[in-house]
Amino acid sequence: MESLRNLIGAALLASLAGCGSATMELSEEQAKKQLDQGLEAIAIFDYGKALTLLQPVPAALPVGSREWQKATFALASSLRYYQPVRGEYVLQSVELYELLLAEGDDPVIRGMTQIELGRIFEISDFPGDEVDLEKGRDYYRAVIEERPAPGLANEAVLRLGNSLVKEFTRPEEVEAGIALVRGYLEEYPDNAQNAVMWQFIAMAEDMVRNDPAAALDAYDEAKALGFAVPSKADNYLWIMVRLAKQTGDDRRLVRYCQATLRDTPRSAHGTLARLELERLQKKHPDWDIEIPRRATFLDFMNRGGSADAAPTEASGQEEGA
Amino acid sequence: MTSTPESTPSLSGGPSSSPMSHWYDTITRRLSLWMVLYLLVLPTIISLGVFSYYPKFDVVRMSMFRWNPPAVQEFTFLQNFVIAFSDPLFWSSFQLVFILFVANLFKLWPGIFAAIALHRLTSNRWRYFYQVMFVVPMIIPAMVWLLIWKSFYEPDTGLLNSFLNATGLMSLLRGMDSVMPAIAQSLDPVLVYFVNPVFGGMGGLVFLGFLLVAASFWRDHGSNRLPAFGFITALATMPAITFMTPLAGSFPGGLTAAGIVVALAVGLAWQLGDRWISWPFLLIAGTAVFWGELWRLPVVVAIALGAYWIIHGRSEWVLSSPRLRNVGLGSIVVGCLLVAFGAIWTEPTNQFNYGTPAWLGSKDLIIPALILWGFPWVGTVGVLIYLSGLQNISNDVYEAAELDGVSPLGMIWHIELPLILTQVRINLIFMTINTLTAYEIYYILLGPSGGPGNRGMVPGLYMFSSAFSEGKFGYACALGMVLFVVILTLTIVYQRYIKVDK
Amino acid sequence: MKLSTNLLALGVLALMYLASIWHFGALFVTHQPNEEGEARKTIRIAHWQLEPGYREGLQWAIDKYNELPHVKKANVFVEQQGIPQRVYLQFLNVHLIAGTAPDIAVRDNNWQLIKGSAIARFFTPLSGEISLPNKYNAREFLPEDMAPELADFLADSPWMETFIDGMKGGYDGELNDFYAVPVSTWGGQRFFFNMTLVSEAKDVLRRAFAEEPRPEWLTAMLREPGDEDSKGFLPDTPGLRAWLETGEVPQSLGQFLLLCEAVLELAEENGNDALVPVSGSSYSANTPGLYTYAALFLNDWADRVDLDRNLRVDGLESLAAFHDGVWTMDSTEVREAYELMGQFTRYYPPGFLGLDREQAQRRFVTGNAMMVSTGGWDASSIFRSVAKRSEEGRFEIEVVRPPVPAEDERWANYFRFTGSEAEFNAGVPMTINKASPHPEWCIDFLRFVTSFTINEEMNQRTGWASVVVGADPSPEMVPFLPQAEGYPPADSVNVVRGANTIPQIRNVIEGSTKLVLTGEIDFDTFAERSETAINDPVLGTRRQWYETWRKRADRTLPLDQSLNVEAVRQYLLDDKTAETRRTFRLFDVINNDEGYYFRKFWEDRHPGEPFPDR
Repeated sequence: MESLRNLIGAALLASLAGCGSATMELSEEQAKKQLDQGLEAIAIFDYGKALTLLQPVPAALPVGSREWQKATFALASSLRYYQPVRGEYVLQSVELYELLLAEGDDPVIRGMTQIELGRIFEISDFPGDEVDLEKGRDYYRAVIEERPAPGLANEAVLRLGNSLVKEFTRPEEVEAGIALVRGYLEEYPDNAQNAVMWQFIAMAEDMVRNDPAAALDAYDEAKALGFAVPSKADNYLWIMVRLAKQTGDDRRLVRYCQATLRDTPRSAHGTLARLELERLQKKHPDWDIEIPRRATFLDFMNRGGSADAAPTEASGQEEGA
Repeated sequence: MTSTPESTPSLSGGPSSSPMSHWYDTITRRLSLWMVLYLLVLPTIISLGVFSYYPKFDVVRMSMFRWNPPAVQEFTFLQNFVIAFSDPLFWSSFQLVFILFVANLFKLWPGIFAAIALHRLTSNRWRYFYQVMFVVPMIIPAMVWLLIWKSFYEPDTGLLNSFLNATGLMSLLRGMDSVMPAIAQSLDPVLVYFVNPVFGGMGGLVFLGFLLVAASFWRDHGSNRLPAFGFITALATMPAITFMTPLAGSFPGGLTAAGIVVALAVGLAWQLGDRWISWPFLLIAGTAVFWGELWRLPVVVAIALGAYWIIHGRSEWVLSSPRLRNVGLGSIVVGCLLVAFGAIWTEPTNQFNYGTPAWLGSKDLIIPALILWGFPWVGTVGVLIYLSGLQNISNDVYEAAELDGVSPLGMIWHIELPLILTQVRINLIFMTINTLTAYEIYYILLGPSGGPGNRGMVPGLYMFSSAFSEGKFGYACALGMVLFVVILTLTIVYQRYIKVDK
Repeated sequence: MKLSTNLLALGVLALMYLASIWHFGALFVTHQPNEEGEARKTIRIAHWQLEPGYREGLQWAIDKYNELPHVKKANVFVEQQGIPQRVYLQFLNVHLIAGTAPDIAVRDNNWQLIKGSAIARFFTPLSGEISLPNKYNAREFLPEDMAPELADFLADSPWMETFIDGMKGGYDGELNDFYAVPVSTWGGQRFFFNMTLVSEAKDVLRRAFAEEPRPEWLTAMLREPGDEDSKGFLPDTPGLRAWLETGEVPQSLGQFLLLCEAVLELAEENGNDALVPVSGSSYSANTPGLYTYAALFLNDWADRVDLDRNLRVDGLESLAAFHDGVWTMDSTEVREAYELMGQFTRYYPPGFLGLDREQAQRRFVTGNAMMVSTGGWDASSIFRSVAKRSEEGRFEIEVVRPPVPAEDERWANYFRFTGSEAEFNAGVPMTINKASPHPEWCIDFLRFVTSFTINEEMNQRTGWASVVVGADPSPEMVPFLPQAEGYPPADSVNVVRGANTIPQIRNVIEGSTKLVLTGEIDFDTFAERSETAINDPVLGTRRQWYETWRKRADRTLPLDQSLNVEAVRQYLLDDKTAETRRTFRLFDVINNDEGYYFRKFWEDRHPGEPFPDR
């Protein structure tokens, strides 16, 4: 069976090489050079060029070598991500990825391959493409188990969790998805991508399970770690403001509004945060709520230096409005 | 042309050459000549194929895709067309383009008269001068031309309003703004209690007129009329069957309906010969006229054919045909008058009261402004094309006409117009293509949404904004395909009916 | 001797040839290697900023750069190519694909052909470069009188942090990377007042207040303090009277409307038909009542209608909220927004929808409008045009943010601020062509041109504003600086603009809105037409569900693709910066994967009913 698969794989590579622009057989040196060019093409999203460059490469490299694994992965990826999508290319990419799993031993490339395969089976890549959710999940599970690199394992956890949460009509699946990610976070509390995981949980709790309190807790965890996309911190903070209002948690509401004013000068919600704090000041006079001054780039106007020494012209205009 | 070995001088063969080798030489010589000629035209053909035909074929293909380059290209078969046909804006854009098309038919005439006037100039020097004068505007970039026209329409400072105010025409328009709605109101009972229930609207009356005129040309009274009647009536029922049932909603249903329509059209063509071509147009027009009440289409068709049957059955074709045609023309004229006085200016626009009507800023004035655009409608290219036709008319013809006592005015109708019909046809085709596909002027004058109430949305502009504002390239291709079919069929009609009778 | 036209033509042709040879020769000479034998490196910059002064300002910066010793030594020469906007995209498309594009080009956000991942194919990502300090902001390049805190900040912060917008103007959200460096900014939308007309209108008002009884138009504008049901706009208070005695522009929306009404009176008194209060046109920035204010009425719904928590209200969210009953065409907010728009259009010129941006500016500049609304991008040409007028035609201009209702004025309970400009993006984003043979010099030039000293002076020369933190704008640009105070601008169901829905609905709502404003249909007809379009069984809300989901689902593969690219960069090309981008990307990818949220929202509203398939 194994040899049959190898035979098919070899035939496939040969046929691909035959179709490629470089119909001549490449020397190993040439193949390596072309591999580098192909990878550079992928790095700038030019999968069409990468496909042309990479088609003859794997056949010119010793099967199983690290270069061969890189070339096969890159070629399979070029086939899968060729735009517009072609069904036959995606099917060819599956065969190449599977061949790579059979022949390759580089744990990282294997992990990348398993994630790609998991994804291909998880979603419908082209009209008429059949989905095999369980098979896809098995690939993700394999990556989580083998943990070839923390980044890849994290991705697999999120992919697996998400594939469960997406089944929103089945609450037990959703809960299993969230539990899986929570369990992983407990197991690896120091991961670099944990903020992404907490935010994934927050979104699932908020939008799929409709549990704003649980969502807020998860957002708090993400906030403590530094949000998934730091440049969108203002948006996340405002979502937390909304959730805090929903849950009626005024203590948290105060904190998030203050953070909006203090930490996110580019937030378009600064004024609303200030108004909210003014309202809360009236509601809770005993809390001694501080309304921080809003930081903006204008603070540096007139070579003025710090925010405290900022000119009042701009702020005066703001107040006037 | 054929040639015999005897008559063809030999280039290669000496006295010893046999008849066989002589033939061989001739053929190779000819072939090589042809080869050279073909090679010479090859670059043109290739570039035509690559740059003109291939993109068009691609449009046909892509009209069946959900296409959002570069990532999305999904085959959806007729989905884009189904959406287009259920899109009210698409239909209203065709209504507008129909109005503009009719207006353009009138706007052709000044060009023809200008060309005739130029042609009649006796001084060559002056004719040359005027011809140059006609060419000069061509060097003004189209964009500048458009912007100048846009400024003409400016309410406060535009030339048009200044002219109307200075000549007192503004007062006339102000008067009409109250008179015309009053006339429309008085016609209202006629429309509500008679025309609408009986003919399905003013359009129905005009449509019936066209059917009668078309039938009046039907000379045969032989045995083939019954099957032909059957095919026409069956075709007329197809829109109702297709669109009033769930047939159009599903792919197999749509395909079946399309198959039946094609089969019936083939049957009709088989029965009527090349005269069949006008019927599909009439039925398409009828579908548009009776949209929403499609059951009326077969009824009106049956009435028209019945009228033909009765009138034609009672007298000879020579007598019955003009009768039928007069009834038809009468119905068209009455219908058009009803449209003119009962459907267009039905409410006061209140735009003329202060002498500053907003021609491009009011939904009621946009269409008049678009029709007025380009006044006095003497297109440079058109005039030059007509002139080329006129210059081919021999002086003998004029002299003969003069001897026969034809007046200079009569010569326009009896000599010049009939002899430049080829040029008129060319211009008509250009005008049709331009009217249906243009979008630049509307885009610049009215913006991408076609002005207030989308009143100035033409199919070309809708196609453009679908592609470049909405990013729906497949849908835009489908709109383009519909336009293509309309233009092609109109061109066929011109070829069929506008003929130079020399 | 008779002049032969053929000879003349030959002569012209010969001259052209000679000129070409001369030009080529000059190029050849200037591209010779320098003393060190290095071949000339020319960096070409393409842009379409042909507004008066911009090219001169940029050229000043270029000349400064070309004179730098290390630039001269390396035989680098920067030059600019100003290309008209109408042909700019075609020019760049052709040259990018042919590989002959200029080294640096200003990006156009309306680029249909080169968008999404194609940007990565043609332009250089800058994330690596912008995280390092800008060497031209080192202390020796900064003014001596600069506050030490600012000097430290500019010298030590990463390059991106030195931009007033955090370099957001060069950020590509889809690729999660920076692909451009913005070099100038022009701020937000403002009201430009003709102060001569403001003063004349105030005279009219003073006279009207003195009349007994007061004229009807004035009475109609006023309301009793605290009368919530009044259709008047502002109360007659001592504050109002005091303001009338000053030379100030309107301080509130009510005062602005009152002044507009006075201009109508002024036009009638003088028999000047061309004079209008507001120089409106079809250009959206010229129609403040329609777009600036109307959306503010609907702001309060934002938190209730934003289903996918992206803080933007799109078409589906607007329509879902409509069906959920959050808003209707009869909501007071919608009605009041249309009332305000109706009030504003009274002050626009007749047929304003048929006028364009240039016509509106011309009217203002010729003194036939009290106010024109537009952005800083038009400021320079307006100021210059007015300055060029004859002495009696000239007038003073004052530029302010759109006024909002004061506490005791009509609509104060709907909005008290306009839109916040905190999220603004700086402009003229310059990209580096991937095919450029000298990317390192391109980066060096962009660093130079966005350094504090150079950027400040360059923009003062161009009449625009600097992008560098702490830099002073030219005095005329001060009013345009972005103001953070205000409501989040994209947070509302934008009924006026067709609620961002699919074209089949949007065209009806937006088109009918215009008809309401020109008085051609009444509000109820508008509401009926809009509801018919929304409820259309084929092209109504159902279609919106499908299209919104489809759009999201279509992003699945490109998102996966970008994750694959980052994996290749990180694991196969050993790119250290890839991991961060991969993390950002990962969150995008799993968030709303295949648009499943929308299916969930549909399920919540239509339990058990299949999701629309077209």
